[in-house]
Amino acid sequence: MYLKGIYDASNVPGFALGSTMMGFSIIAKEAGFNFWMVMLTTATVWGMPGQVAFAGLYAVGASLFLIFIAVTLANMRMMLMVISGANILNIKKYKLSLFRQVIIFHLMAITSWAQIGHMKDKLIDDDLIKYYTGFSVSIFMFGMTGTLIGFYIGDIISNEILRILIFITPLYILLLVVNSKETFNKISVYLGGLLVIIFYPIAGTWSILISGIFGGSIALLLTYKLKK
Amino acid sequence: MNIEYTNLEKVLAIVLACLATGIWRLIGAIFYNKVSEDGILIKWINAVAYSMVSAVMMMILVYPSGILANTSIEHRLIALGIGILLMVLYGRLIYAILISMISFGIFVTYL
Repeated sequence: MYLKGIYDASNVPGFALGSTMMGFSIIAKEAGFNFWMVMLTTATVWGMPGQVAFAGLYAVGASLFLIFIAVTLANMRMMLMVISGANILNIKKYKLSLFRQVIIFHLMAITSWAQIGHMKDKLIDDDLIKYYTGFSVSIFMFGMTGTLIGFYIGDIISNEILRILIFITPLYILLLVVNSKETFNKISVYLGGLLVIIFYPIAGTWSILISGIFGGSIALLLTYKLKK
Repeated sequence: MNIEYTNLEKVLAIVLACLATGIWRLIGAIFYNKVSEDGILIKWINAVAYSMVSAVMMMILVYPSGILANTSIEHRLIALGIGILLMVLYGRLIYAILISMISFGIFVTYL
């Protein structure tokens, strides 16, 4: 099952994530990150929206406090992914220490989480956690390799290609979130995207926080009103 | 705006970014068997998270810095619109990304 996980990760998911991390690496380098900062960010944060938020805010010289808040909020969904992923993997059964659980969940990115959701009916508990281990470790390796290549590729390839690679990252994430199953999350995505365009000229980088809170709250309220 | 961070601030920034994500994973690991996935609080957190992620990405596309700033906003938004339209109509992520990316490449190279 480990091998099946590795095999499945080595197809579209691995290459898509590798390209995305390549895009992040280029953005981060442009923002002023050095090699170790880029590699450490991918390895320790391992959550694309938070990484991009970090690089984006770093580029404009935002305060460390704002970086912390933005990354915290951008990766808030990790908690939900961990809760949902733990239930799918039936982690409780294995009586793992908190430290080991944190290691397992550190590897849980959108791709791995979506994959185990897709495979949960096809594999039984023990096979599923083995599959997840093989898959998530491989995806992590693809991500690190993409980050490494991205950091150096920026010096070799032309600006024409570079701007397309940089465009992939926000595009990939926006298309991923716009496809959310829940209606209120979909509305949140559209509202957040629209509100930041209005608020950014007034509030600068704080517009992310403002747009997030307003967009999410309005979307939730709207969905409940429409249901009633 | 271009502010230079000191080496200590750079290290601190990475530590904070790591903590900012790790904290949610840790909370998830502690509370996964106690928190209801259908509760209103979780729904709100999720909605705000989705909205913020979208806001960050739109900020990068609409108010970019660096190389992306040398492309026109119309090209970026039309290419994104194509991707979203394909995603909404067909739900195939890879095709939507590919076509949107190719469209963007054509726009910025030939228009």
